[in-house]
Amino acid sequence: MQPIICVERLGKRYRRRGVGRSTGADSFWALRDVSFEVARGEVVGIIGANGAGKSVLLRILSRITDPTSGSAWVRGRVGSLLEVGTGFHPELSGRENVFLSGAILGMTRREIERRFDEIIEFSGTRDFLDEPVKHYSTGMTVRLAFSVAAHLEADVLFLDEVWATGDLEFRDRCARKMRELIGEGRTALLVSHDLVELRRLCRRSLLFERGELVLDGPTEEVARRYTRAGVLGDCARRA
Amino acid sequence: MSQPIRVIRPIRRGGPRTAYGYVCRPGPKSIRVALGQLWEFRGLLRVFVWRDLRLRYRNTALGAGWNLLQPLGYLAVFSLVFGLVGGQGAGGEGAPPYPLFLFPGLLLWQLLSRILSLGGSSIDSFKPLLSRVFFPRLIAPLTAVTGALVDFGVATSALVLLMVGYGAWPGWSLVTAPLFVALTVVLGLGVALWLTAFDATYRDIRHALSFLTQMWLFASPVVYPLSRVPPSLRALYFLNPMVGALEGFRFAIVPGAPAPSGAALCASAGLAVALLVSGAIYFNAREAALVDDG
Repeated sequence: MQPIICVERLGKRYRRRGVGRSTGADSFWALRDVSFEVARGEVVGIIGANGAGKSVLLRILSRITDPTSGSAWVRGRVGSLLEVGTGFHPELSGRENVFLSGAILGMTRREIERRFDEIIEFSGTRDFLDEPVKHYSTGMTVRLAFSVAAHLEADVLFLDEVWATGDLEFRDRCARKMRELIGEGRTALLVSHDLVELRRLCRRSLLFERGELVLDGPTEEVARRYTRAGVLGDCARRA
Repeated sequence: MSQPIRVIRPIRRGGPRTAYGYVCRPGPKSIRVALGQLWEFRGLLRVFVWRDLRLRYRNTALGAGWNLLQPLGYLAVFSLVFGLVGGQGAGGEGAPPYPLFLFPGLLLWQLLSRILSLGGSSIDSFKPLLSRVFFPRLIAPLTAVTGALVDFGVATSALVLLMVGYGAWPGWSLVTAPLFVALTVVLGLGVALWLTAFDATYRDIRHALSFLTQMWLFASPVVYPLSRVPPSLRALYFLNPMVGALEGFRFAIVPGAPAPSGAALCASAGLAVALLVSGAIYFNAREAALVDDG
């Protein structure tokens, strides 16, 4: 089967400004020599400590930033959700923000109109539709924002810990929605520290350490290696 | 790695041939790809323009009425000052009354200065969004330009009122008006592309900008007619690309205004196009750095 995402020797170097110029330490590789493929319908977890290169990878694949070396391609319509609330403007109403952020995430006007009721229903903010979002609670904003994104009609999804916020009930609903989306045969890359959730959603995972891809295999195995790798403190905090 | 990577056929720069999909690689993309992306994201441009207009006039009592008040205020001030000090501002026999001479130029100038001030800082104001989601960076300056054009359209209603007030009816030359507006937009966008690419890295631009725009205003035939410029200085004067646009726009709107000289028009159009093309190339080359330098 043809892969839907293909990453070949991808690297990203950032320059450090003002530090160690001309000593060779003026730059560092946030991502180095990463290669993998993802087949259609696969849901792949991305695991690693902070600064391991997970987010940079998704940022490159989403075209937000260019790689320094290597290349990658993605087939199909991409929905990228690296932060909840992308494109939301506090001065605009909930209704206006649905159209605004929907368009920014890549939906056409017609698609948003078609799914508007579903989006509002899922977010549970119907009574506040015409209020400016600055009067919303953080949780409500997150609900509405996630709800827009969850209704993206994309073949490929890039998600960066989107369900990390919101109350328990909504997190649960998000997780269910995610499973539903995945069930529809979508391809997805998920960045998360929530190993339990990843085990449930992804059969395969990638482990990153200091910008390098160190393990590509079943989530169970990758999670075990990550936990063993001395990130126990991090996991204990989450348990 | 548990699975060996199959060797895949190299993908052309344009990307795989499917309806959707793209390639990520180092280096700036070709102008052709950039324009293709712009077309693909044209719906987003409309949404951003709508958002900006909505935000600009939200919580203002007058709303879009500010578009009329601002040039009318300038009109009053300049008419008074130049009417008192300079005597017959427009000069010459059979020339249009000064306010009628002045106003079209003021409107066109307001369009240009809006494009420069909004467009010149557009990448900076879009930066929070550009670091979270992909869309062609060119959308940012284009949003500013389109917004300025909408404002200009609203402001022309004041011009219509003024002309009705003076009982002045434009002749056939009116059909050429869009040409000179387009010339101003091309010129403004060209300069804005250079400015915003600089501004993202060097904030000095924004401090200098309003001062420079003001200087440029007095170096252009807005408040005084071209005929006041000594003939010996004309050749130099025509290097200001706004000369052709202003003279042309006035000729299109105001009855009795002289036709713009061919030399001024050629200089204006040539410089405007050169600035736009070079600005687009420079912007495209700097594009990746615009967000990473964050």
